[in-house]
Order: sequence, then C-alpha cells, then structure tokens
Amino acid sequence: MGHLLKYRFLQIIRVKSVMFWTMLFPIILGTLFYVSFGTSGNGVEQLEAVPVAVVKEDESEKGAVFREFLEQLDGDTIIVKEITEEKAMQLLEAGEVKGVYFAGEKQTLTVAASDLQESILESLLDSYLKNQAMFFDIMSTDPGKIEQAMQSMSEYREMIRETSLGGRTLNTFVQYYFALIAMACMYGCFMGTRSAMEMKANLTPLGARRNVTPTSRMKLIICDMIATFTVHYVNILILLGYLIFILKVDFGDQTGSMLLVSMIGSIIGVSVGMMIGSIGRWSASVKDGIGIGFSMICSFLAGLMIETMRNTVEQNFPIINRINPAALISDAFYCLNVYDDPVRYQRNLLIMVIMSIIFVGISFLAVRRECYESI
Amino acid sequence: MKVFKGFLKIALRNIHVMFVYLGIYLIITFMIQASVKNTGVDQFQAVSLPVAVMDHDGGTLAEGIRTFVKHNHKLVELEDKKEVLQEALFYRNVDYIITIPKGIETLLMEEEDALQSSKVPGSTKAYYVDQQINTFLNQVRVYHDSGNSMKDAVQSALKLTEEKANVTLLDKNGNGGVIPEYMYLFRFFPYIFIAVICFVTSLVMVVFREKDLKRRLQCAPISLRRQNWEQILAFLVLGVIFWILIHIIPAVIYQKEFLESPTLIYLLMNTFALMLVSLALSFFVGSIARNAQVIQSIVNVISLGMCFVGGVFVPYEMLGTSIRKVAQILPVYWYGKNNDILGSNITLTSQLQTEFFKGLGIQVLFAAACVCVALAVIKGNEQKKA
Repeated sequence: MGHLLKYRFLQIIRVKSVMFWTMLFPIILGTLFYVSFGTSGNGVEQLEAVPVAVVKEDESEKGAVFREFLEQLDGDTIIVKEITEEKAMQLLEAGEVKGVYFAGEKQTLTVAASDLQESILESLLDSYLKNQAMFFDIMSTDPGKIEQAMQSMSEYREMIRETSLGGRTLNTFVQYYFALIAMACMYGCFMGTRSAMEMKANLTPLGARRNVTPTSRMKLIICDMIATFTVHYVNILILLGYLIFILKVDFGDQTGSMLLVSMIGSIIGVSVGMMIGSIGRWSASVKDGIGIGFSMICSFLAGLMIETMRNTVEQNFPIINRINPAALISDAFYCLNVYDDPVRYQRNLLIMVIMSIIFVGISFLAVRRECYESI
Repeated sequence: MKVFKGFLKIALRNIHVMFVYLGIYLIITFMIQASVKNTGVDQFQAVSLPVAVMDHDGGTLAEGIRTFVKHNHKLVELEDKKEVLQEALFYRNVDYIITIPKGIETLLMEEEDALQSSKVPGSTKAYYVDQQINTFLNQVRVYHDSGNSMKDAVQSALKLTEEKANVTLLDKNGNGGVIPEYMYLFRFFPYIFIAVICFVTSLVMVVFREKDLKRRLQCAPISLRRQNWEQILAFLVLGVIFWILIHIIPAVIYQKEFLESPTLIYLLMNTFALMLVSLALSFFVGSIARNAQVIQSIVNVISLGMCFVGGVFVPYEMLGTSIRKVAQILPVYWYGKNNDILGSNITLTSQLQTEFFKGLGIQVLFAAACVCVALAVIKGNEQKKA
C-alpha cells in the first residue's frame, strides 16, 4: 500500500492545473476579497465624500444654522457647493451633485436616484432634523439645560454590539472568507475527478495500466482517497494559514472547530469528485466540465459571490441548503459563529460524513469488476 | 482568407462550448442579480423587519426600546431560550434579535455597546435597525443628561421618531429614480463577456498553436501579418455574433422596457466596446497561454479579478480609496460608469455625452493596447523559433 500512496501523491502534485485550482486560485480570490473590502469592511469606512449642492432659500435663522451644519461636514462626508436653485438643478441633472439641500425655514432634500450615496444624504438630513427637534424641545422646557444637552450630544456612542446568540462579538465580513473556504473545499472535486479518471482504462493510459493490476479496486480507491484528501487538506491549511497570518482575517477563537469543518469539507469535496470521475462513460473533458459546473453552482448557492444568496435559497428551496455540500460547510461555520449551535454544527458534519461515504461507495460500485473488451 | 475561414470553422465546431459557458454564467448572473435586487433597490423605503426583543432588564428604558421597535418594525414575541432563538433566526422568522442586558439604564449612561444584537447572516437591511436604535438610544441619553427623568427621556425620544426628512425624487430617468431592472443584468455583463468570449476564442487560438498546424501555416505564402489580421477579423465576427446573441436575453425578459429604452443605442455602444475589450483580452490570453487548462486558469483570474476590483461585484462606492485608483485603469470600471450614467438618465446632456464617450474611448483604447501587446508577443515567439 505504501508505494500506491507514494505514487498517488506524486501524480497529484505534478498536475499543475489541478494544483492551481485547489491551492492558488482560492488564495488569489481571497486576496481579491481582501483588496475589495478588507477584513472588517474597512472599505466602507472610507466612503467617498458625496458632492451636494446647497440652496439658500431665505434669510431665516433655521436655514442659516442648517447651512453651517453642512459646512462643518464639508470635505469628509459631503462636498458642499452653495449655489442658486437653477444652477443646482442643472448640476443634479448632469449628475455632478448627488443631491440638493434646500436650506430655509424648512429643510428639504432633492435627489435624482435612490442609491447608496442618496441614502447617506437622506439619513444626514433625517438625523439633523431629529436632533434639531430635540434641541427645540429641550430649549422650550428648560433653556438652562441646553449646554448639557450639547455636551451630551457630542459624545455620540455606538450602542449596539453584534454578537452570536451566545454573546460572542462577530464581524460580518468574515462570512465572505467562510464562503471562500467552503468553495476551496469543494474544489477538491477537481482532484477527486482526476484521480478517479486515472482508474478508468478508457479515459487515461494510467487507468489502463492500473486496471491490469490484481490489487482490489477498493484498495485502489481508498489509497486514492487518502492521498488526494491529504494533498487537498494541506492546500486548505495553506489557504487558512494565508488568511489568518498574512491577511490577518480574524476568525475568532474557533480555530480548532474550523480545522475540523474544513477537514470534513475537504473529504466531501474529494469524494464528490471521485464519484463524478467514476460513473458514466463520458469523456475526460465532459467530466471536468461537470466537476467545475457542480462545484461552482454549489459555491454560488452557498453565497460565495453575494452573501445574501444563501438566504434566498433558504427562503425558496430550503432542501437545497440541507444537501448542498458547500452550504453545509458554510452553515457549519455559521453554527460556530452566529448561531452558537453545537447541535446543528454536529448535524451538518454528520450529513457531510454520510454523504462522503455514499459518494465513495457509489464510485466503488461503479468501478468494481469493471472490465473492457477493447479500448 | 484561408486563416479566417479555418478559424471560424474550428470556432463553429466548438460553438456548443460557448452555449454551455453562456448558460452557466447566465445562471450565476441571474442568481447574483436576484439577490442584489432584493437588497439594493429599496434603500429609500423604510424597511419593516421582523424583530424580537429579549428583555433581561424590564425597566422603563427597556420598555421604551420595545415600543420603539413596535412602532418601526414588526415585533415578534419569542420565548427567551437559546434553542428557540436559534431556530427562529435560522428559519428567518426573525431577522434581528436585540438582547437588553440587566441594568441597561446605567449601562447606557456609562458605556458603549450596551445592547447586543444578532442578525440573520448576510442581511443588509438589518443595518438599518442598528442605525435606528443607535439614534434612538443616543437621543434618550441626551434627554436624560439634560435633566429629564428616564421616563420623560424615553417619551420625548419616542416622539422624535415622527420627525422625518422630506425628500423629493427628481424623476430624470422616467422611472421614478429607480434604476430600470435590466440595468442590473447589464451591470454583470463584464463578467459574462470576459469569461465566455475569452474561453471560446482562446480555445481556438490554442488549436492554431499546435505544432504541426503552425508549421504548415508558416510555410504558407501568407505573411504573419496577414495571418494575424485574418485572425483578428474572425475574432470580430465571433464577437459580434456573441454580442447579438446576448442582447436577446434582456429583449426576451424585459421586452418593451428594454427595447424602447431611450438610451438603448448608448447601451448597445457600451456593450459593443465591452465586447471589443473582451476580444482583445482573449487575443492576449490566447497569445501567451499554451493549453486549454492554462487558459481556464488565466481567464478565471482575469475575469473575477477585474470584476471585483472594477466594481461589478462589490459596488464601487464600497471599495477602498486606493483600490478605486487602481480600478480607473480597468476598462470594466469605465463600462460600469457609463452604465450608471445610462441607468439614471433618460436623456444625455452634452456634458453627460462627453463623459459617456470618454468612457467608451478608454475601453476601446484598452482593447487596442491589448491587441498590440499580443501581436508583439506573437511576433516575438515567431522570431524565437526561427
């Protein structure tokens, strides 16, 4: 068995294209995530200042106060241009400003779309109006307290901490990296397909050679499985190492459980691939295509590209999330971090183990006693 | 035109590959589009989410938070047990759970992060709840600091929720400021275009780089320059076919809304430029890659990379400052920018037109640059062998 394992290892790591997909590609994708939105959504904090026009409507004091308020924000959140109404509307039409504030006795906003930047302008006005109402309220009941109110106001605090149900603080952006790890596990499918095809005499010369050995097919499959899985798991560990130590993604204190999820995830990825490689008489390129298509669709359904994807699936076809390996892997991660739910965590892992056993069983049945009249 | 014909022949033989890839990428695009649509458009409307409040305090402030949630959202009553909450959150019976710790009234005055929240993973709407409750709690704090009792402070803060910003939407795209739905499909076009065109055409290029075929071509009385140009011409024909095919999709799904769009001609110009960019990229990839596997790797990295950094997957506004600077050298960024212009305007003023054509020009220039580099690479390889 030793030499079976050894040569399997060598064969796997010498196929550069497979190594690219299972090792390099997730690392590249992780890097893209990192440059796009960082590890804690640090992209969001540096939102571009929104260009906005301010129209002075009258000489009222309220209008003047509002203009002063906007001027204070000039440069950071918004870029203010004080101009006439006509000019402002022209600029809004041309898209040069995203909104026009009308500063008079009443303060209003005109926008031309409903997007992120417009929402910022709206919430700015909204909080201004609320605070204004609050100060008038305090002033009318007890003018002496206004200074205290001002002081208190300047100490705006974040009052909400996002936690898991068990109370652990968490960071939403980490979920993208969980999806990435889930996808990387699924890519074990490519390796599995390849190694199964190297047992098919009609697909590869190596398969033809291996078919004439007296070694039992189960033994061959198990050796393939062990070698492929080991290489794949090492790839995943490299990815995890890269995310944790180089990109400094903070996965919290769950590293041990995470290693377990990615281990079982790797097993299921490889065994899905072995099944695809073993069943049917399709050509090698078709099998490669099925492998890629399968793992891609699983990963997308599990929310790799857009994090809400998983929710959409959960609302419409919940059964898919119960059997989609990528969704099971990422759900296991959620159980660790969001739901604090050891029961479902274990259930997910169990489903994956059972599925892997079924997949390997199917591949064995497919190649067992297989023989060829002529190739 | 032997090279031209040969190229098209091989391409047509592989046409099923194009449809398979087109199918896969369209499914992916539709899925992305569906989930983006759910979260992207309704930012202006106040969202009402199912919210549960776990009150461990029971005081005036805690009651105030409950009332606040009731006014603004759908308050869901749940038993305060971890398993119940897990189930409710998992099956989306609630989107958001607030836990009010004991002694919230003193915590509010002294500390940050007094409340704990748990939300459905990936729910963007839940951030609005965060924002609202934050504002509310800060108002209570200000009222209390300025000498009101907790009860009065809560009452006054609750009254403030009626104060709402008055926003007018200027209807300049004839659609009430809402970006037409097909624009979301167009937003993801760069991904489909680059991935599919690159796969298909570079596969053909690889065939042409087979040793025997190459040698045969080299001893033909057709100059390398002519061979290259015929190849580029064949590329263009393929690209145009793809470009026509892909527009059938919005035409079928959105019908009149798309076909009678006043900016249709600009949209088509923009996608045409994008098609040129994708062709040029594939010409470049085909010139450096040696086999189909290498092509797949390179194409995936290029298409995903460009789309991430160029603001296709992650909205441009959310990218970091330095990435935004890098994005500006990518044609995908300019495509997206033009798309934004077309999405929010029904007629283009002369100023917007200038902007639009600038974006178009940059895309075409990028394509030209890619072709030049590829030609140089091909020439270099030829000389190396000679």
